[in-house]
Amino acid sequence: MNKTLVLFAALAWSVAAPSLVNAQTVTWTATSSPVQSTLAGGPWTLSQGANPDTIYCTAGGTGVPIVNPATTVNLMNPFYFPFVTGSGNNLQGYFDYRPDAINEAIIAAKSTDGGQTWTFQQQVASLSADCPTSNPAAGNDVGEGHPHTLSFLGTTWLYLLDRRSNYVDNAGLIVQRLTPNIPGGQPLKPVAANTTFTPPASLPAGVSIFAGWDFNNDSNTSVTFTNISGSPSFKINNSPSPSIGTGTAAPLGMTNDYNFSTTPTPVMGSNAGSDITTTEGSTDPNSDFTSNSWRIRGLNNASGPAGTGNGWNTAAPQYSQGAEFDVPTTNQYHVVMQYDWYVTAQGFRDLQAQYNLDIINTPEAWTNVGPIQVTPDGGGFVNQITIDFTALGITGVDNNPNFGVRLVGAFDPTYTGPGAPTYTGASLTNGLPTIYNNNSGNWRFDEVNFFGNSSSTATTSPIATVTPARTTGLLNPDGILAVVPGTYPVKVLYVQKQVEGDFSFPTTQQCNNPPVVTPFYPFSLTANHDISTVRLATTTNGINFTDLGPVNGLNDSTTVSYAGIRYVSPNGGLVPLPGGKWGLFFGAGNCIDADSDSFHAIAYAESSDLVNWTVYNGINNPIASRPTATFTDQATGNMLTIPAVAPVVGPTQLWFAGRVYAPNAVVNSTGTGVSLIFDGYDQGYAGKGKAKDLSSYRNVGQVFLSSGGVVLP
Amino acid sequence: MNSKLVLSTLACAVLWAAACGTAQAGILVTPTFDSSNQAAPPDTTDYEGIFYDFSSMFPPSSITIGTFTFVIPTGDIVTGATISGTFGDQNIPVTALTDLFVDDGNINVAGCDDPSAACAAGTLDGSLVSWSHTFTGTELSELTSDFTSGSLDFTAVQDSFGAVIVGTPMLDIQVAATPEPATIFPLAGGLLAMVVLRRRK
Repeated sequence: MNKTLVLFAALAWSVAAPSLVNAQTVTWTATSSPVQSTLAGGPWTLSQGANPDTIYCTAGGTGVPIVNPATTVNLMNPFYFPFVTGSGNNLQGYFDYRPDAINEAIIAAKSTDGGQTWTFQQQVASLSADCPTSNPAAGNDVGEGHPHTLSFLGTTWLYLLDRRSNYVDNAGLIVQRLTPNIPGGQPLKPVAANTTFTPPASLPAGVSIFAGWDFNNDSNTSVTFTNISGSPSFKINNSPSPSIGTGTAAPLGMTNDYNFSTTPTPVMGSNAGSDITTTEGSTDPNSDFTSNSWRIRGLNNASGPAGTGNGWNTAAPQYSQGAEFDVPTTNQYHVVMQYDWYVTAQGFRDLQAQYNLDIINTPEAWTNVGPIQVTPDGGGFVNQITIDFTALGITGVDNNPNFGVRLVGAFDPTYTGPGAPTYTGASLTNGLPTIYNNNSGNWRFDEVNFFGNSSSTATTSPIATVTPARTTGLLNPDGILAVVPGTYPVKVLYVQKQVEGDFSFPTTQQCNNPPVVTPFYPFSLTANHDISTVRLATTTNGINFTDLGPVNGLNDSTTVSYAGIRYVSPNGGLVPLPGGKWGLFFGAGNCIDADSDSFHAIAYAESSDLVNWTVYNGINNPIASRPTATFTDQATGNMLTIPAVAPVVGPTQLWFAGRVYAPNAVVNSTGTGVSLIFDGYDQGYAGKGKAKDLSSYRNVGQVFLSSGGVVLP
Repeated sequence: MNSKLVLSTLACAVLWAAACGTAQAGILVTPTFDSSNQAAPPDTTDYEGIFYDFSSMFPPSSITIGTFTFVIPTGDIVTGATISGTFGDQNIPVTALTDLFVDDGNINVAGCDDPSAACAAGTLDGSLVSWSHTFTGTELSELTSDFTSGSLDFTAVQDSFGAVIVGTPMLDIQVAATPEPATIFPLAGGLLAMVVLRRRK
């Protein structure tokens, strides 16, 4: 009998144990209703005029952006992607400030009531000095956003997403080191004085540039081409002079006899016709945004205008087209090369760097160095590409009068279509590369610099890394989702976003256009094709990260179910739970929505290892949600009412009926709950044309949640 | 009245009076920070050090955080002392790896030595890690000249990249008046009374 009981108990335990292990630790309930937060002081807000194009700046849309006095209190919009630290009711917040059509910026504010009211402290990443115009120098609706900080070893790093179309979700996050600024009570000051929407700051003072080209003092010279019909003249520069030190620069492969796909008829042959032209977006410190660059291209031999059939061609052998920089490194040691590389929308997509240790005696002995560089979809600048020859174990570069570097076109290793292996163009089609068009597109270079130590005994790189430009190691980062407190190496959860990446999925796993259901889903919108993946990474210095791979259980990138979670986006609220477990509040979205920013609902999941997650509050039983509606589910064709269970925070309020996401959770002083600070939009923002309602978007809000008796560490 | 009771009460009263004459008091003092070693702009209320990347920028072998300045009242002696503070402050809740010292680096009062420790990596709830050191009798003796001069240095040795952040340290010096001759007699009298009482038993 006793043995039977023991056996039964063991059997019962073996069944119950997994569910106990996976049992939800905290069941959240709301102890308040969500409120829209307010801000005392700070920049223009929606309450001060519905049309930002005419109200945002003084003098009816021109002049200086409005900044409110500390005595002025407004609803806190348009701010989004809040990032909040602190404990109890005393919070430090960083907010993404983004009026419609204005360059994005980051501000800091403090709260003493758990995030219901905020007081403006300072701009962290400065606002653009531009007021909205039809053609501002820096462009509109760009900037830096998705703020997140990380503190360890006495340092706080600020991470921002570069919003420019050629960098967003492609380049590493912009990293800046925050230093305190106590006078006046403002605790933050970015290290770089100029932290506007312009590209990351150029090199810190004191680095040893011994040769370099910024092309600012180079100009073009009129040259007549007698081998072109009509003997036209063009202003070109095929040998720009260095702005620092000595060296020579020359285009490669632009004089040739290739066939070009010009209109009305194809032509054969090209002349080297590189020139100096202005381009936006390099790291030239002498220019706010636009500076001279060196454009590499050819001029065709027909009577067509310059720029058609412009030198680059798929018939060119690999590595034969691009530019060469010959730089004597005499008395220079630990040589480092750095350059900014720009590609137009149709230019060659891939670049390979090469070096030659004796350009005089072995002029054809070029060796590849470093990985193939790939331009972002649609082209643009990739800045401060760095080649540290010493770190790569390459000898013979130092103190060498016959040293040279080439930056040349490479076949696209990801292209397998007709003509492969060959060159592809910068612009992808449905997320895939296409063969170069033999007609248009070019490369440009700026800030081509060579650094070195003057002493052979110096062991450190001549480039200081105190103020880095971008993170490394994070894969297509959209932002940091959460920092795991108390870890070193510091562990983070971050969101990888592969823009328009799901075209490779079967069509049954791609979203249809979002459903139209009145009254709260009234707009006809276009399906989104991004892939978002939550991943773990670690860092020991805040700059270089090691990706640890994707986590499981938060979302399914292939689900088309309206009850599923397809998208996750920053920010998230990571909460330590008893027993070493973790809870995570996060923004969740799916095919109902037209955006991968996952704003349909605020969800909640738990994990014991930060890798394997169980969602306890999903789309159908969320913490907070867009309005309840009945949809015809894309996955099953069934009618689904979503959410099926009322949200924890209660009925949807209009200010977050359009979007609700980016939750931050701060544990209260007694460990019995959290303050949840999040963001929301009214639905009118999604309208088109006259239906677009800009009166209530990017609202910061707050709600208190109870942990139901579970005491949080 | 019982003579024993009277005598014991009198003895206790005399001893108590003598003790009052030698009562301890505490001197609380925060340091004056050395601005040359602080992140710009320098702060007067807490210490946030310069960032060193340990690649091209290295800290000095000893970082002068500041100096405690105080006055020991004339006639008082130091009977004890404690120094305390936090790793990190309200702006940055963590510190670079560091060891903290007084007395020209001779007395180690605190240390944050592991990058994965809460003092360097942070706590789960964002709270600051406190440190405290009570000086031993030997250390008090070593500090005699500092107490006499009214000045005690506070330094750090930084052991990792980052910045030394130590909040607002506090030095708590316990002092007591040097017993006067007029105090000694009541004290001796009280003790004599206790001896007599015991012998009668």
